[in-house]
Amino acid sequence: MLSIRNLHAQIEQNEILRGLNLEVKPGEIHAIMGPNGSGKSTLASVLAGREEYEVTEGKVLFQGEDLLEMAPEIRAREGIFLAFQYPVEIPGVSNINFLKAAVNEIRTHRGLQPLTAKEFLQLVKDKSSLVELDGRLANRSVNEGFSGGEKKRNEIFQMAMLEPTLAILDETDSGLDIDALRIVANGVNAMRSPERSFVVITHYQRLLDYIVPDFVHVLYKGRIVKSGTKELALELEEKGYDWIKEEVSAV
Amino acid sequence: MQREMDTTTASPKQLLLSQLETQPSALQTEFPELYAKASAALETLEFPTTRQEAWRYTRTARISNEVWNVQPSSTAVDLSPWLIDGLNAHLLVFLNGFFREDLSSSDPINGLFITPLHGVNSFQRNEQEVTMDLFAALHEVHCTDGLLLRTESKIKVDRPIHFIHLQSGMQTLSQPHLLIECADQSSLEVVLSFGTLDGQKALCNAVVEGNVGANAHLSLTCIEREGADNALVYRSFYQVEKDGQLTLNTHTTDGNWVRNDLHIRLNGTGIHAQLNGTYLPRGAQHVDNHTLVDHRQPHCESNELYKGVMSDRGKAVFNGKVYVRPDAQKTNAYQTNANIMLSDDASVYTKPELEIYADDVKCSHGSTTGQMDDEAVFYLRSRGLSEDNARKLLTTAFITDVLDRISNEAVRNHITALLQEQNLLID
Repeated sequence: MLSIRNLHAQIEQNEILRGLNLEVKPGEIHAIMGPNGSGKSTLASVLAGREEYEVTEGKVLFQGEDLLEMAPEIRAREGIFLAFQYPVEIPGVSNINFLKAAVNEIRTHRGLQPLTAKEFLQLVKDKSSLVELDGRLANRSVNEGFSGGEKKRNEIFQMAMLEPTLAILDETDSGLDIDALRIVANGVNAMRSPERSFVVITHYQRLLDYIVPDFVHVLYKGRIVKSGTKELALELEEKGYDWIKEEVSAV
Repeated sequence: MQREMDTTTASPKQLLLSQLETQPSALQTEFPELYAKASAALETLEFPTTRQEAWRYTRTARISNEVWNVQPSSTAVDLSPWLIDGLNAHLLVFLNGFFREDLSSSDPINGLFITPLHGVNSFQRNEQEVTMDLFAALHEVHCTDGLLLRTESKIKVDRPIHFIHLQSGMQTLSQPHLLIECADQSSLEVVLSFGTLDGQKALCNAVVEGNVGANAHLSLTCIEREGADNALVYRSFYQVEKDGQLTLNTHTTDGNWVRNDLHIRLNGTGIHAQLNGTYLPRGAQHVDNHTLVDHRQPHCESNELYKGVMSDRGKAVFNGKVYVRPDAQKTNAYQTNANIMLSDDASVYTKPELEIYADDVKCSHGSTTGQMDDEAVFYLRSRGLSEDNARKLLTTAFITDVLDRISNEAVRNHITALLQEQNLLID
């Protein structure tokens, strides 16, 4: 599904990713952890197509296609979804109108008919209940005046609406209390399927109690320096990152 | 007979006047004093230049370098592109500055008299502190045609009046005049549409004057959709009496060169005035909005909201003046002008001006100019919207609150649709 090979990326001449490799197969959940500044959010940004980041070397294939050649909207239509670490507030644009435009652009790209108003509203109803999002929030301006938890739930709601094949969650758990975390995790778990993969970027092992990953990777200095299963996350929780840093510098 | 002119030494104004000698003014017999004043002024006035404060950012070269002619026309007109779905309006159609009775509605309207500019000298013309510039003098001395709308007191006129001004032919100059008299406690809604039939180069120099009586309501929405080669000078003057309500919506959806001057004088207490406008110049379009609200009495409120979206080499000017005189205590005056620039070559010159001579007032003004939020554009694109649609969605969100102030839904939908057709707003 996703194949990242020797990825190097920089922003304003600072190299952040320094030869990152990652293989994600359909249905898998990969957690990416790592200390601050290790390149976690840069990875999410490069995959979503943020133009400030320049890829200097390496390749990213998504379902066999060159992802880096695609504009951000094409990536979305091809099935990539990024849940933002800091969802943007857009005054004046209602969540519903925006999602309707998005859903229909994606459907058109996939050769499907646009949804009728009735079908669309039914979809909104189903998916907003998935993340226990108040119907009123769906009618408000995108993220405007939403609490931190509401913004993150809104990201998962959008993900559910757009039904991506690969979802990247960029620190979706940051700033959430346990109740909100559980709701977000339930939303993600409800969407798990053999065809859909997730890359979950997080700072905290806590999230992985709710979204159980198949693999855990440690990102440090722009590379994946250690990979394991969910037990690795527990070990990191207990011991911190210093032992990883020592291992890396010993090499 | 046309005067022989040495075109090498004549000024653009002299050239212009030489073409207009045979055009008598529709205002002359009714308002001889103003006519005389304007005639005298016309002797010395030239086209305004950027050395004059009111024209600092608006060059008149696109007009002064052309020759203009008055061209009455009886051509057949398909009005359908200009009609507003669901408005059920009484139509008043002008072509090239002249009333076309044959194209207009003829059925009587309860509580409203519509008459030509004969026997209308009881109308209190404005003698506002407006500098008589070339456009004003030219209009007074060579006004092509006009109408007076007069409501009966205590009547709410139940049909909107749709005044449609169209131009056709090359180098046409139109100078229509509309007088609106809202008698005490009456209520009237007027929609103006300015446009072109054939897209040929034309200039419309229009004036609207409204007198809003005590406790009367006037709502006037001006839809400016001139063609890519057309220029429009739209002057309007209003006097509002005690407890009167005035709403002016001015939306420029198209046109090569547009200058709007709105002057509102609040003569009584308890008046509420609202001025809303949008402008979205693109290509090489130029749109200039000048507004003046003159608070003369206590306990009045004025509220002004103008928004602009400039793309390509589009240029806009906003100058909003609010004048609060010493007697106008307890005035609430609010003014907001916000702008978004979509290109590096676009420009906007915005200048809110508050002059306050009373000490117990609430006044505010704000002017912002920014670019489209790149982070918001990326957010929308990351959800599958094309860059173009993301920008249109954000533009729509930006100006939607101004459009929402148009209380008549049919008119609001019409303007929205015009902007959607121009690929400026999302469908």
